[in-house]
Amino acid sequence: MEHDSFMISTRDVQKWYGNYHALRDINFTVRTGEVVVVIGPSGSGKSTLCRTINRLETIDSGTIEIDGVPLPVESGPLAKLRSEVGMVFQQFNLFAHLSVVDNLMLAPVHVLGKKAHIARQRAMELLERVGLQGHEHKRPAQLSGGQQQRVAIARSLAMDPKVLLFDEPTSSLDPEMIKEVLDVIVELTKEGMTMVVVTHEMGFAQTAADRVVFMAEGRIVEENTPEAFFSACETDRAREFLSKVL
Amino acid sequence: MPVIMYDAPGPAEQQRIRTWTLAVAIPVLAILVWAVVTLQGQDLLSGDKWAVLGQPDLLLALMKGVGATLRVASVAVVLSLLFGLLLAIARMSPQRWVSVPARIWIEALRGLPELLLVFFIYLGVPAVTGSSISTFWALVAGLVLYASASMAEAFRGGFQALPRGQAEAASALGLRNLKTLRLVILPQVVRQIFPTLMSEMVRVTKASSLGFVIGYTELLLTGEHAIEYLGGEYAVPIFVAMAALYVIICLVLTQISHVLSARLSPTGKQPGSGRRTSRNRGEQPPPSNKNDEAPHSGAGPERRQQLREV
Repeated sequence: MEHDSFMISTRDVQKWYGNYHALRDINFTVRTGEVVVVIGPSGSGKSTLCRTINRLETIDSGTIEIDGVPLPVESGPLAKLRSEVGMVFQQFNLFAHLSVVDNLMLAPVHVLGKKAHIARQRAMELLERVGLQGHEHKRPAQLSGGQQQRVAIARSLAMDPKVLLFDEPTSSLDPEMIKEVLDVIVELTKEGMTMVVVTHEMGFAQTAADRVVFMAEGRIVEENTPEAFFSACETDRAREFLSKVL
Repeated sequence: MPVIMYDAPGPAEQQRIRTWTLAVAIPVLAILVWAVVTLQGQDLLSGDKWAVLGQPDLLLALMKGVGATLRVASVAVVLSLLFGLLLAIARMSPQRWVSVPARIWIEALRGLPELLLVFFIYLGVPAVTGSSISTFWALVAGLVLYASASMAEAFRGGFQALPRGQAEAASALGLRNLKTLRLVILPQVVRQIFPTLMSEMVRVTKASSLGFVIGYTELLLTGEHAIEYLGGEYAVPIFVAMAALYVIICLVLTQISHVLSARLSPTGKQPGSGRRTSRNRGEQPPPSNKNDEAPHSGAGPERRQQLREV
């Protein structure tokens, strides 16, 4: 493996919840500009892996490096790192008390110290980019799930992150809204954004991923290009999984 | 909007309702008539007794009493909110040496009568420090000791009810703890527990009448002095006037709370009226559904479901 320009690289990561071994020997890398899709059955540790990358979950041993720098453990540097790593959640987690545009402006103004009018201008551009111009003064509760998730993506983009983490971004959406969210994510892949996408959407994995990582029982079982993985996966565990979901 | 708990009554039930209405109304009326007759018999309801309420001196004194009540109540409320929030945060601390004492403090103070607390401060502070404490601050301290503990529990409930994802999203964007608390968590918690905080404020306002026992001249003691000065036969009109003033103060507070809680609702709309605030003007009208009429309808799953279908 080449060691230049890894955006994310983890080495021998172990994570336990009590007696439950949630992440086993995780060596996971993402190159700059790469789109890695993580798939696997429920409870396989894929969401946990995603959440350890910006330390929303701590790990018990091993190392995680972002852009060549070990993940900070002190709150100040950690907050700085998180401001550079975007995250999109399954439950959207938009700030319920703020309008759409205020959701997009909060962190740029209060973390990056941007001037309000500049942050607002950028927010409006991003809303247009995710197809939500005209919704800027609504509260999250007034939007559909698909619209909320697109706002959440725009909120992450407002920080100009160097990598974006998606933790099952379409898993709590009604079926007819999944596409509008995936379309936005696919758009981002075309722009060269470095991304980790944990998902159950196999169609998305096939078309948008540079690499597919398959996890089961807390391990990375197999990783390959989507073409190779979906046409001829190497392990029984992956074959069994694909036979159920495809 | 259908009333919860009540089905539309059938004919037999309507008859039963009429019967019970009469069964309750007749004794209540009888008691009222008896009360009026008794008071009349002692000449307590005559016009000249009530004319005392027109006296400028009395009105001025009562207004001063209202002012003193409001002064004590507002200082006590502000301090209770502040200490209540701090206590709640201490109570939820992951450090046991912080959370356990906070918990004991809260439980102990919620279990003590406010009257005792007021006495304790008023008599205890001079005994311990050797310097006396003003009746104003003794009353404020007594009220705050109790109200801050009870507000702490309200805050804690609000913090626990807030979805974890809100704080996670804020952290993931790079906000540090204090900014997350100030910009994301507190605004939502305050919205959530607003009715509880408001009723606690009303309670503190009324509890300021405990100033009576240590000689802080608030509304109740003012009235009492007036009765002593003017004579016991004026007690009924003056007490009624005081009661009316307390009710008015609390009604005003409640009204303010309704206006504020409408402003604070998650969609920024006035509940029930279907009116939109200026922020929404020019947008598509938000869908009107039954849930919107509940004053504190949150963005629950049902609501989201309904919005999706629009």
